[in-house]
Amino acid sequence: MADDSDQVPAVSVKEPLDLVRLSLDERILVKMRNGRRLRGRLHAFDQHLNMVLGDVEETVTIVEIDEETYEEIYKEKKRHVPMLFVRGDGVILVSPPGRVGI
Amino acid sequence: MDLRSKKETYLLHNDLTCLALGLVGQVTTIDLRNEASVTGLVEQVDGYMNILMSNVIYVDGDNSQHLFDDFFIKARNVRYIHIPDDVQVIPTIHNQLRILHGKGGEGKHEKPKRTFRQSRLQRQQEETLRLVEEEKRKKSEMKKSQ
Repeated sequence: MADDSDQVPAVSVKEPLDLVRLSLDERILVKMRNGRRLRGRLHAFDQHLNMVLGDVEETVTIVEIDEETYEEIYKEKKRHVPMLFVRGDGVILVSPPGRVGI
Repeated sequence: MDLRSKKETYLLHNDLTCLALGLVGQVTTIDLRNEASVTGLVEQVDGYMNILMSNVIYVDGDNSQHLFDDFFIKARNVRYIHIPDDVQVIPTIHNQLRILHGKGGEGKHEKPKRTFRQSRLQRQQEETLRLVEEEKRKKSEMKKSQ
C-alpha cells in the first residue's frame, strides 16, 4: 500500500480505504484529535491512515475559558509545513475540502 | 545482519514505516503527542516506528528547551514527522522497499538443494532416454540393412 500513489484509482469502490485512495494527489482536509485540522495534498497513505501530506497548513483550535465572565474563547493557531508525515492513530476523518460546510 | 521479527518485517513492507526508515541519517523534527517537539539526527528506526535520535533539542509544550545526546521515542508518541525539503517521498519509499527485498534475496542465491529422490529420478530418466535412442538407432540400422 506504500506504492499506492503510483496507481491510477479504479472506479470500483469496495472498501472505505478506496475512498481515500481516490483522493490521492488531491488536496484534502484531515480532522485530528486534540482539535487539530490539516489541509494539504495527499501524497501517500497506508491502512493505519498514516499519511504523507505536502504543502500542509495545520490549524490548532484551543478553547479558553475567561476567568471573570466564564465565556468560551476559541483561539486558532496556524502553521505551515512543506512536507509532513502524519501518524494514523491521531486521525479522526479524511475529506476532500471543497465540500460545503467544512 | 537483520534482527527483525516477522511482524516487524511485515509492518515495514506494508505500512509507511519504510519512509521513516529512509529518513535515517537526516536531521528532522518530530512532533510528539504531548505537544513537545524533538529536533535532531535520526539514528535508527524500527518496523514499529520507534525512533532513536541523537544530538537532540527537546522543546516542550511551554517552549522551554532541553538538550539531549540521545533520545528514544516510542512509536505511539509520534504525532508528526517533518520531512526535510530535500527528501522526495515516493523515490525514498521505493528505494527502501528495494533494499528490504534485496536483503531477502541476497541470502537465497545458493543452488537449490536436490533430494536423493530427485537426483535418482533424473538419472533414471537420462538412462531411459539413452536406451530409447539406442533402440531407435538399432531399428533404423535394421531397416537400412533390409
